Amino acid sequence: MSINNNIESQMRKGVLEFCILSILGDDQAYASDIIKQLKDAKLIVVEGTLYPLLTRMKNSGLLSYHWEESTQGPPRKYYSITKDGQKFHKQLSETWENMVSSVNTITNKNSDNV
Amino acid sequence: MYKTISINISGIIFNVNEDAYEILKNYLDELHSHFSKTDEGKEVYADIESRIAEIFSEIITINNQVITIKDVNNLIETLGKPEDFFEEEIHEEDTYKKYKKNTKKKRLYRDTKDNMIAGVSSGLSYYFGIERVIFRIIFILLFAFGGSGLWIYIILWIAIPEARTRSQKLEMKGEPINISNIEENIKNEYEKVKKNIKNKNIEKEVKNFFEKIVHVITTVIKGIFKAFGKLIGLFFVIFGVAILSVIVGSYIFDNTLIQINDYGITTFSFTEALKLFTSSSNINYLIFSLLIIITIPILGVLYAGIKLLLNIKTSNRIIPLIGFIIWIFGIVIFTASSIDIGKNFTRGKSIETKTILKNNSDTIHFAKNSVTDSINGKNIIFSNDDDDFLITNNSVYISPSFSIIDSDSDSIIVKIKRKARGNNKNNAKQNLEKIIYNWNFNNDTLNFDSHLLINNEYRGQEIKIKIYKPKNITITGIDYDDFY
Repeated sequence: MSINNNIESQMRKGVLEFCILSILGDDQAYASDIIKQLKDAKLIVVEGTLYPLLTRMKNSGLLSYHWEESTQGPPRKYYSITKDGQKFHKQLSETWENMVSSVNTITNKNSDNV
Repeated sequence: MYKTISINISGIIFNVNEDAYEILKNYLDELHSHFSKTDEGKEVYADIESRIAEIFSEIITINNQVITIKDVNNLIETLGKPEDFFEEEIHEEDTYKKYKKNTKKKRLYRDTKDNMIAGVSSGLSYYFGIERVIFRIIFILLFAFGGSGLWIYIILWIAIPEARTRSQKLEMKGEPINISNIEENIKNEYEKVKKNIKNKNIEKEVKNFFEKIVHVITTVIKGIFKAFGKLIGLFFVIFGVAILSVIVGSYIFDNTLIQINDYGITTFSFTEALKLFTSSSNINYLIFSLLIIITIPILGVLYAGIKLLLNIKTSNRIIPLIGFIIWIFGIVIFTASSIDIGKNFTRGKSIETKTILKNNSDTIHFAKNSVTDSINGKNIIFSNDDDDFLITNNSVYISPSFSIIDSDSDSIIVKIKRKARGNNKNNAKQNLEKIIYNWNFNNDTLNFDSHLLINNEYRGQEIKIKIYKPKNITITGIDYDDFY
């Protein structure tokens, strides 16, 4: 494992939770729906990595879920955002905007120099 | 034509081709061994299984009823290889440190690819870097002498997990354990404990002084256990093997126990001795239950010792539970057998005989006829200080109690009261008749056996002898130790 890989995946992982909270901000969703949106956005490559993350977020009180019967296959877990999750999402949005503008400032300044 | 295997994922049945099954099984095993360590992980694993069931359900149509190798490969591509999962987790913590540590760590597994029975010896040989033949010989020798090898092998079989996945096989073959590794291990644990205590002090979790002390103590104890766990484990194992060998050995040699008495070191048969107190079928229950009661905790100690010694991390709750149930079962049988023995002593019966002696002389001699002289000292299991209660391997000898009472009658009267107990009146009477005791009066001499003798069944038999003597007659030869 190279150090480049590590930093990249760290960055991706950092925003992953933010994105999940954003997806669930509008409506409840089934794990596969969340996965599909993240995949389309090229934030994740494989599905497997998301299951531990969802469980961890649920256990820390950001998400909750309920079971729903499915016509195809076993019952599905539908995730929705909790009050705590909403608060945290708001906080993350601010942090994200600040960070984007900070990073933009620095990268723009430096690219001007080049 | 293909052979298919029927599997159940998340409650749904799928038919899978044999080759596809192998791949799927390896994949799930690897995920399971990774996730099943924590409750959170178990939930994740269940989610993944349920997703697999869903993906497979989408594949199945009326024309296509079977999961093929292609389907499984697609599935793995969608969900991600085990490495993809774990990589994510490694990033969680101090990446490089943990990576380094993981590759270094060696775990004990059973090697089921190169096995005679369950791959225990083969796994041990990887762990210690010693030829596997040596372990096999050790097991066979331990089995031949005392039989403990069998027990140890079975415990190891239960305690050591099988190396199933690729990463487990790598862990099995990792760097051999040697002194410098152990030293490093101890150092690491020491550092960890130090860091842990410091961290906790900074955090405000520790609320007061008392909690702080408890925390420090538990952290230190945990550290000691981790660092010296191998030594403690080794002690447990040696202790367990020693006791087991004694138990199994003595059971094999007809329950013979060794005792040390005045006659030097002697042996006696435990079952023979018990026959004095209860029926032989009850003895079997008693010995069997006693064996369970003693052996199971020792097996437990051995199990814990082996786990500590070889750093095995399994949380098998079923085996200890089964052990505990068997142990309780043993206690129940033991209690029932003990009560059965006790029942033999519930009812008492006594008979008194009265004999009037005809004598002409006014001096009578009192003499005791020793019946214990002929006993071979080596057969004595128990005797008290005065030898008035003596148990040999098949008999009980008890001194009667004597008393001399002045009376107004003209002649000497001897009253002998025999007592015995049993589980009912009739049985008590039978037991009473089993007392062997002789006395006679000859040539102005009273001859009494020194002990009453009971062969086979001791049921609290005793004899009280009262000698009523007229005032004008003297009795000589009395050892006042015999009277009260």
